Amino acid sequence: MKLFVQAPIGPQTGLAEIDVIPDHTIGEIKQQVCTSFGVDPATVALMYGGIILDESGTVSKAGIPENGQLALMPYNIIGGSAR
Amino acid sequence: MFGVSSVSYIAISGQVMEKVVKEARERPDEQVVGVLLGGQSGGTIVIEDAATGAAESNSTHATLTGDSIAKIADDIINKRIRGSIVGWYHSHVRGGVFMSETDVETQLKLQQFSPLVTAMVVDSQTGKSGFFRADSKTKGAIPIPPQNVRSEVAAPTPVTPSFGQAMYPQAPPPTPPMPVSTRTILVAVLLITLAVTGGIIALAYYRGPGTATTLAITHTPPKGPFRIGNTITFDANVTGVDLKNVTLAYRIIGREPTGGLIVGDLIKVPMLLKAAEKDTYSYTIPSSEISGLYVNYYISAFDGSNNAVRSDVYNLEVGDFDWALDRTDEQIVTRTIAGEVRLDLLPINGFNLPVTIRVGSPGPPAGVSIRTPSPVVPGQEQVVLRITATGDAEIARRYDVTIEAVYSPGGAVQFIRPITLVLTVTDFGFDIQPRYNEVKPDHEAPPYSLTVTVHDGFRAPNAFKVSITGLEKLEDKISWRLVLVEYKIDDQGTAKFNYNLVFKVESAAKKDLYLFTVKISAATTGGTISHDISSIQLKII
Repeated sequence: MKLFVQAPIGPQTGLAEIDVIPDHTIGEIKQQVCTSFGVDPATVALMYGGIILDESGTVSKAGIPENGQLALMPYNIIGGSAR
Repeated sequence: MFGVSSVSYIAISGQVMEKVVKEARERPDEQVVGVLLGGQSGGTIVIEDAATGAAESNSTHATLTGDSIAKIADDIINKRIRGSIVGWYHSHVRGGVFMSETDVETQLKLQQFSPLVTAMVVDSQTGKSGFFRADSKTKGAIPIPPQNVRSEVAAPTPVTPSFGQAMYPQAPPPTPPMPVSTRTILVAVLLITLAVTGGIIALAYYRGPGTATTLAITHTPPKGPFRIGNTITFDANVTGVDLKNVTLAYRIIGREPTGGLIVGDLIKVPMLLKAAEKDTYSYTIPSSEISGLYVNYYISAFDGSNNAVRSDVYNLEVGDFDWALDRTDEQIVTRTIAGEVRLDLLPINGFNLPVTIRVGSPGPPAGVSIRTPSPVVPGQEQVVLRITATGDAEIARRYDVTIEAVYSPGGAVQFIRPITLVLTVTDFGFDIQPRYNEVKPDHEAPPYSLTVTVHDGFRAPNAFKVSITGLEKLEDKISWRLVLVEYKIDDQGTAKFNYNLVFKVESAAKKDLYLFTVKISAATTGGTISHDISSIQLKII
């Protein structure tokens, strides 16, 4: 099945099209798209429908439909003021 | 991994600046955090909105949670919010405006996606703010000089409904004229109308220097409707002893492109006695001198004793036409995609005759054609211009084209009203180097470098799609990957993406020659545009 992954960060955002099987885990997909986007997998998460996806779960378990649009985003955004 | 970016200008809308600073100041005991949304225009990052969500906050830290980020991402993907994340903001309760180690770490995390993302830090005590990026090598903060940051109050409603580059001023930043809202123009027109009426009333109550006199003028204003291209004849019945002369004084009151009034010079002409009619003096203003909005006039008569008498001052409405107040319209033309521009012609004082639309001088750049409609009736129709650009059309940035509305009442006389259309002809280009590679098993092929050049004005709201045909024929000993290696934008607004397509060949791979076609496509307003390069060869030796 075909999925799209978007990273809506930066003025021109990338969109990756990936072919997966429903048994692929979210973690496996994340590894693959992180290579395409050139980002460190440890700092980001895949998100769909406004929630963070569990990396051990599969595509079918996460309920992502054909042509679903996932987002690749940082786990969190932290501001600090300790020098 | 990214090249050094030349985009170092930031334009933040006044409302967003105010919103973020207010949020920080209202919570002086804990930090606030959120993201900045917007886009890019030439060399400027444009911040149009800010968003936040559930956060864990105390006086030294604020964390925007993954769930909040996921909701914002979902809103962007489903277009409930415009633009994309171009930065993030947070406040400091103590210590002022600087980048802490945590801040630099977060900034670098975001810069992985784009080197153009910026960090905005607000001091919640003073409301002062600053913008930063970070250096991935030194882990140091790079402040963006305050003179490169503009905060401006945007028009209440953007003129262009879609999110696009042309809406924003370009860097370097001279303060651009702010768009005048429709409301302002209406008010201006109303005030000017009042002012003119006032002026005419004042004149009407003024009488000439004469004292007691037998001079008298009887005048009935000519009956309309009047319009450009017609003559207007004035008749007056004037009686008096020792009548010296009868004068028509008139001026044309026109309209400026900005909506103001142009008051023409007062012209005084002698009115001549019509031989057949006793005491009737007459003058005809030639058609070449008549134009809208008004002919403003009075008639005066003088006798040999320097007595004078003057008629009331009248205002005749003259039918005319013009383009609606906004005289320029910016239009993006994407090569090979037909576009339309709608311009409004404005009938003045009931003008309703056909007007021809034509392309004036300067015309469009090479390769661009503009089809004008057959004669239009002002007031009934918008003027729809169809613009097409061939695949070879010259990429042109802000090219002025004159469009003329022409009314020909007959003979050689023509009334021409020009409007300037600002065209940007855009496209994206695509190249792959090299076209041929050979590789031995157990090696990686040298990368094929894919370069996508996106010219200023090109809009691809859903990004670019790379599709490669031929990969399905690869045997399973060969794997491939496509990696974005560089993203750069120059000060002309031209963006360059560089991808590397790399093949890795395992030891048992067979000798073979593979052929690929790489296609880059982007959906833009009016259709999808794609460029492809075929016969990319990979030889396993």
